[in-house]
Amino acid sequence: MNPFRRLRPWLRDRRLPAAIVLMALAVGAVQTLQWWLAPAPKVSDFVGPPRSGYTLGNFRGVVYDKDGLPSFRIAGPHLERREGDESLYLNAPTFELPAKQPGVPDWHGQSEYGWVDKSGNLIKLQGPVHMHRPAYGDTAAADIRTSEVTAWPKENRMETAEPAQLVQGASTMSGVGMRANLNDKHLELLHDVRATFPPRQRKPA
Amino acid sequence: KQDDRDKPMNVEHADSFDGFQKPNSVSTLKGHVVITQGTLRLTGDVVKVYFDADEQISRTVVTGSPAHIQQLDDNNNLMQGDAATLDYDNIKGVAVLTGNAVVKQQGRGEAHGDKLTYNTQTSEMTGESGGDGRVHMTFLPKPRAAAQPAKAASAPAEQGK
Repeated sequence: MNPFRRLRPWLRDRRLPAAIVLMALAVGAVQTLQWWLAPAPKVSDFVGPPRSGYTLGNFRGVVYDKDGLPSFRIAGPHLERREGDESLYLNAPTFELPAKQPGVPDWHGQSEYGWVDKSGNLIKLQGPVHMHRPAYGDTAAADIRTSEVTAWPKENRMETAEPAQLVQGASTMSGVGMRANLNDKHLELLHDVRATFPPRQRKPA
Repeated sequence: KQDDRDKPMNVEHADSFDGFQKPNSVSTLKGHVVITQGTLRLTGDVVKVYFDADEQISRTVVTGSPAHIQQLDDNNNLMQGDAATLDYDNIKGVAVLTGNAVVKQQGRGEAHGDKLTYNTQTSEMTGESGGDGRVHMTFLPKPRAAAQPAKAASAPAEQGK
């Protein structure tokens, strides 16, 4: 007789143990899939006991990058570190983004509110945001004004989806949506662009 | 006009800008680009703006379907030009139109060719043809003094009464 023909009644008489075995196989398969597909668990890069939340008044802070070099400086009247997401909430922050180029001055900025994520890689600035870089050499001072900025200080990069205005000497540019890389001075304005460039200075004949 | 070059260059509109704020760089404006400089007006789909060592605009290359240029000369005569590519030298004030180039000068005539060079300082124009194409130029006749012939025509009319 075919062995499978005897299997059915055999299983039917032992429904409970058969169901248990099936369930165990299913759970095993799912767990195996989860180990295989799920991302590696995030390694906590902070050593030591979890830090408590704290509030600082009239603070000055320096955030260092992985090479131990200052990636940006930040100051302001009020700072709160909240345990929940371990990020920083700032009121009226002023900040300096190092130009990381010899002879090129830092960008100074200020906004109404600021938020820095746990690792210090991401800053969000709100309220009127104004950034200023002093003049140096033949290059005129530069100013950027917008209403909101997302910045990656360790990459010296920033962007906004809001209207932005840039003034550098007699040149002015404005648009809606901006991306700027302060390292290689690469600038993109995404929509509705207007600009004015000064006439050429005639070199004396 | 001759003093157009001493005026600021304005980007009246562009859909997007992608460039560098540093010497010897090229910036690209895309989408419905309108640029003015005094009475000079350039329009096109893509404009590449070349900045020299002093971060001043040295050249502007406009491409479009067509790229368009227009300007008033010192006698307020309108010059209009269309071409596939328009290369405007902001230092010498010379525009080179290539690809189905057409230039019309009010009161003077028009020219068609593969490559037309228009000097915005002197309103001088030169045409070159590539391959077997020819340069076509039409010069409008100088308007004759209109007063005398009109008098002669009216005298016979009176005798006839």
